Parts: sequence; C-alpha cells; structure tokens
Amino acid sequence: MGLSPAYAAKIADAMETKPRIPVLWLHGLECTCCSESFIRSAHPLAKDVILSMISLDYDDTIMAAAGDDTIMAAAGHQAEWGCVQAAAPNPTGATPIHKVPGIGNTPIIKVPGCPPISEVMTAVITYILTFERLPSLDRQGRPKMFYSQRIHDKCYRRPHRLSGIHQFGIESNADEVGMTAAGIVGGAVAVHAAVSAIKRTQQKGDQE
Amino acid sequence: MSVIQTPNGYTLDDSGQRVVVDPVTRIEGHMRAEVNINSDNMITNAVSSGTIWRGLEVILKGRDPRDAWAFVQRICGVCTGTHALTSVRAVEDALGINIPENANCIRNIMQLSLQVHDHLVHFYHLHALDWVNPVNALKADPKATSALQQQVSPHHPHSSPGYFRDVQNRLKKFVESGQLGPFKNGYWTNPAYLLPPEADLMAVTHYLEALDFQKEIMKTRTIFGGKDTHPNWTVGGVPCPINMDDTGAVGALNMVLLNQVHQIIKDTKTFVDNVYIPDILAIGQFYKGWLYGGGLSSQNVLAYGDIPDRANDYDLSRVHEVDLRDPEQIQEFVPHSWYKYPDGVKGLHPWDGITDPDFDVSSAKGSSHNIEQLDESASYSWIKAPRWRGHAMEVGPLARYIVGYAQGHEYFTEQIKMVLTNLDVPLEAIFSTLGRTAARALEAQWAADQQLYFFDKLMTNIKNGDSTTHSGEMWDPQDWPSEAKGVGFTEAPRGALAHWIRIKDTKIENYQCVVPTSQWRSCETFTVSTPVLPAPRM
Repeated sequence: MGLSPAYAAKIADAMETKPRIPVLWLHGLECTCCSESFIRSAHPLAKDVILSMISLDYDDTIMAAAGDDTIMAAAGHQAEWGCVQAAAPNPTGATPIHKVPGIGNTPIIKVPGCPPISEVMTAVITYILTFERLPSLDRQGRPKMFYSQRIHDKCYRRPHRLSGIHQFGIESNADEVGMTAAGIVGGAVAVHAAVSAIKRTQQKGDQE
Repeated sequence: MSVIQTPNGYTLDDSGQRVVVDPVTRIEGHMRAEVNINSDNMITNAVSSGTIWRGLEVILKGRDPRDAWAFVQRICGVCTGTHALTSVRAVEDALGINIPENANCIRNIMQLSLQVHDHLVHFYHLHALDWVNPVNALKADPKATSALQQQVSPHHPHSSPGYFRDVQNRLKKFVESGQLGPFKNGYWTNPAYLLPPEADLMAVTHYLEALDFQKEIMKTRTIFGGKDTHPNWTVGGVPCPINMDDTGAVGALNMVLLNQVHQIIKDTKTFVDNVYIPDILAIGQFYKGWLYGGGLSSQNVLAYGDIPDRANDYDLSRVHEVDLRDPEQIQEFVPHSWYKYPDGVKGLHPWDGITDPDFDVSSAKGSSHNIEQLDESASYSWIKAPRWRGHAMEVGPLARYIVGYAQGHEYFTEQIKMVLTNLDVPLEAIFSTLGRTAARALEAQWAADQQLYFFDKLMTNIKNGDSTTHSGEMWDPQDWPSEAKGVGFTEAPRGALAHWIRIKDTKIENYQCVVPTSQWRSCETFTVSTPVLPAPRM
C-alpha cells in the first residue's frame, strides 16, 4: 500500500489489541470465486485476516455450523455490477448491491473483479482497520488507489497492437499467437478489462 | 406420509421428524437439505434442493462460441477453470480443431493444479471441521503432538514442540477473545468427534499450513493463464506463448517462469506426501468406523476420464463405455425441478436440452419467502436430474478410483492397497465416507505426480524445437460450417463434467452443461418412466 515503516507498529496494534470487527459475508448469485481469491492472499495471509483482523461470523463457504439463522463492502463483479448472470438477457434479474432495496445511505465500497484480486480485498480491510476510515473512492465507488488504471495500460502486447500487428494467426511471432487470440474475441474479455490494473504478478511471484 | 422405493433400491419414508438445514455450508453455491429421521435418529428420507438459478445456458444463446468459456468458467469458482476447459473442448469438438501437444501439456498441468488444490482445500478447510475439533486441540500436550507428528510423517520439517505450542497459544488467544468467527456454533461437544487432543492440534495446525500453502499451488495457473481464480483460456490451445530465445515477448513463458512452475509442482508433491496423505491415514485410524455414507458408490459410478496423454486423444470407444453423443445415454429430467419441458416426463439429451424456468412453491409449507418445508412430490429444486441410461450415478474421486481399480490401473490399485493395509480394513470399506475422503487424498497425490510427468513432456517438446501453443485452424468463423455440434468433457474435482454445444450461423444456438456437484451428486429422486436397464456393477 506504499506505507512508511512508521505505520508498521500502528498496523500491528490495530491487529492485536482491538476487538475484531464482525464481518458477515453474504453470498449472492455467485460462484465462490471471490472466496477462493480471498484465501489466496499472500500479504496479509488469509489465516491472519481471519484469526487476527476480523471476526468472520458468517460465511457459507468456510463456517463450521450449517442452517444458522452491518459498513458494507461489496466484493466481486456480482456485487458491483451483477456480474455474468446480469449479462443479456439477465434471465434472473440479477441486481448489484447499490440497487438492493433498503440499502439506503449505507456506505458501500465496491471492490470489483471476477474475482477481485486477493490482495486488493485484504488491503481494503487492512486500510479500514489501520486508519479507521474508508478509503477514497472514485465516482463508481471503487478505492481510487487500486482502480485508477485500465488493465490495457499494463498489457505487454499493447505496443504490438498500437503498431498495427493485430491480425491473428499470420505472424510467426509466438508472442502474438495465443494471447492475441484471447484479446480479439471481444465481449467476454471486456469482463477482465474493467478490473483493477494492479499487477497480476502479485499472484505470480516476485519476478517483476 | 408415503414410502417409495428408489430405482437404486433405497426405501424413502417421510414419516417421523422433519429437519431442515438451510444453508448447507462449506460447499460452492446454495443448497438446502430436508431430512426425515425416525425414533432411532436414522435418516429415512432426504430431499436436496438447489436454491438458486443463474441462467448461464440462456445467456449464452446467440453469442460467439469462442467467448463461451469466459461465461461458463463463472459457473464455479471453487473448481475454477474446469468449466472453461470443458467449453473450449466442446467448441473444438464441434469445429474439428486439433490443439498442439504443448497446449495439451499446459492445460493438463493447470487442471491437475486444480485437482490437488481442490482436494486439499476440500479436506482441510471444508470437510475437516466434521472430523477435527479445534476447541479440543487446546487440551493437547505440544510435546505429545510433536511426537505424533514425527511418527506419522518423519520428513515434515514443522514438528517441534515449540512450533505446536505457538499454534496452540494463538488458537487459545483466538478462543479466549470470545470471537470464534467461522468456528462459532460448531458442534464441538458432540461425541462424534473422536480424535485425541494431540491429533486435533496436529490437524488444526495443518489446517493453517494448508491455508498458507494452497495459494502456491495455483500460481502455475497464474503463470500459464494470467490470473487465478478464473485464468484465461482460448479455443484452439492456450493463451500463453512460449518464447525461449527471441526478443520482444516480455511476459511470455520463459526459463524463469518454467523454473517457477517446476518448483511449485515439486513443492506441491512434497506437501501432499508429507502432510495430506499422512493426515488421512492418521485421522482415518480414528474414524474407520465411518463406513456408512457410501451413497451409490457400491452400485453405480461414472467417470468420463481426463488428462489425455496425447493431444486430441478422445477416442471414446477405446477407453469409455459411456458415449456422450448417444441420445439414449446421458439425459436430463425435470419432473421435480423448477423447469418445464414441452413433454414434462421424458428425459432430454443435452444437445436437445431446454432450460426454461418454472418456479412454483405453491404446495410447500410456509410462504414463498419463508419456506418451512418443501413438497418433494412437486417441484422442489433448481437442479435438473441427470441420468445415465436411466440410472442415477455417483461421480467424483471415489467413482474414478473405483473405475480405475476395476480396470486394474496399477497406480490406483497400489494406492488403494496401501490405504486398506494401513487402516486394516477390507476392500468394501472404500464404499463409504471414509473411502471418498481417502480417494480425494490419493487423487491429489496422483495429480501431483502427473504434473511432473506433463512438465517433463512440455520441456522435452520445447527442447525438440516445438514452441507452438495455439492452433490457428478454424479460428475464423468464415471457415465454419453453417451448423455444427460438439461435446467437451473433463473430470472436475467433484466428478464427471460435460458441456454440449450447437452452433448455427457462427453463433451459439444451444448450450447445455451437465455438472457434477450440483447435478449428479445432489439431484432429485424420482423413478424414470422409461425402461431401466440393469445397473452396471463393479
């Protein structure tokens, strides 16, 4: 998050001395990829979030009990825009979080992505716990610090495309074949294009 | 009150007390279970209901078949990628596209990563809380836990008394905070928990170790597929070029990334061998009385097969008795589902499948917003019921291991013998919850070995000068026939999965998925009206 070392003690204090904030994770029309992404968080580790940062009091996916009978953070495309099931003709009438009746003026932080990047989800939590305030949001309700760039801006193929090399299957350059195939299909790939442009290499390792 | 006989020989009796569990937790998606129990607390009737519908089969109509994978991948984020792989295979089958060997190796490594990851997370983070009691772990002696760890897995490096004491202290602090989070309202005083405190502490520690490690397993998919959960795929191959020698392809597969994949695969095998398998055997010792819950595993099991050694090797007649193209074999029925068919009774082969929602809970007890009890004589689930030649079938790791054992597959046979010997139980013991839990662990071990095999194969191909990862054939819709149909299949972690596609004038005319978790494994009970052939028995 680009914090100075002085904040390390503050974060540690927030993690260890305060009662953990109760969190209810409600699963809407979803595929659980948000939860799967969440548990892949490397810093902080998912176990540290669950054991030391929040009190995850309700989550269908991991809670021990079954048949059990709230700042709101919305995770994933589903909660933000309705995700894949809201695609035309939206046969189920899937509805994003801000259009749910009764939400009123409850502050909403949108963390879109299918799924959202794990470290972005855990960073939003860490930010709120550390600074005791909500992060600055853009006009779509997303934390500015993560959603200011498009994924296209980081694409290593972009120079090729801008140079006019975009016809699939003609170039002998192995680099063009394949990813271009994914890139030119259109519609579906836009699903990925709208997400945070924070580097995927966080999940890839430390190469870049 | 009624008593019915199922086609598989079970008697269902809906007298006695009705118990409703909603939601069923630690699964993907939304499910409700209603059961009747008799005076001996035995379940005599079970009604499972899928409580959401997302309509992806409807959404796909009229879209570009090459886009389908990105939509259907979102059917499941736990078995992420499986539906996408199934989809690109269905389109390739329809259009007659052959993929390069390298693409096959990379797809297999990605799919095998999922197998290991899914089984590991399923056991430690979804299933283990039924066997492992974190509260009881507080009573453990860390020294005794250390001794137990060194006995069951001498090669695992994390085994000192101090290590277990630290975990126990952290757990103690967590419990004393009074904020039990996901462990709240567990049934921790239930006598069905059989592990001694030392084994509970060891298992809880591995719950945390596995939670840390599982994210490493999936980095192979981030490298090959750009991201995970939900990596990128493409019809005709994989969307990751290989560039070992040239300039200008920063981010393509190079020696650094391939080395990283190799290391992840080796670490994965080490974790499965040193933690997962020993835990299954150690915990299994205490639960080997759990020989019920066998489901259909001793009667009907179904596996389509997956992980082709050679690219484009899908000769069904040679390997499989199941013919996914035969309109009489795989069919979906909706007599108790919230869908309607023009002819409500007859099953439909997926190429002719229909997804037409028809929600009606008017005969259920309670109101439509607060259902107290579903009416299983009417429609009661969003799940269509799939059948093979009229039979309900068990799918999944146990089904695959039973098929593999019956075929005499040496790797599977040796693994099963190892478990039976170690736990001192007969072969019949595998037809149970114990067997199903063990099969997941064994399959994770197999998958880790297979990953090494396909990594070696990939490197050999590259060494021999083949860096192709995508076939350009039939990419352009102008080359497609006006009509085509195809089927793609995989073995998802939870079981046999297939998608059927019909393409007309370059667009999707019909797309039907028959999926393991929510269909084969939790569909409705009914008696098919068509003649039922003798059940296949192993």
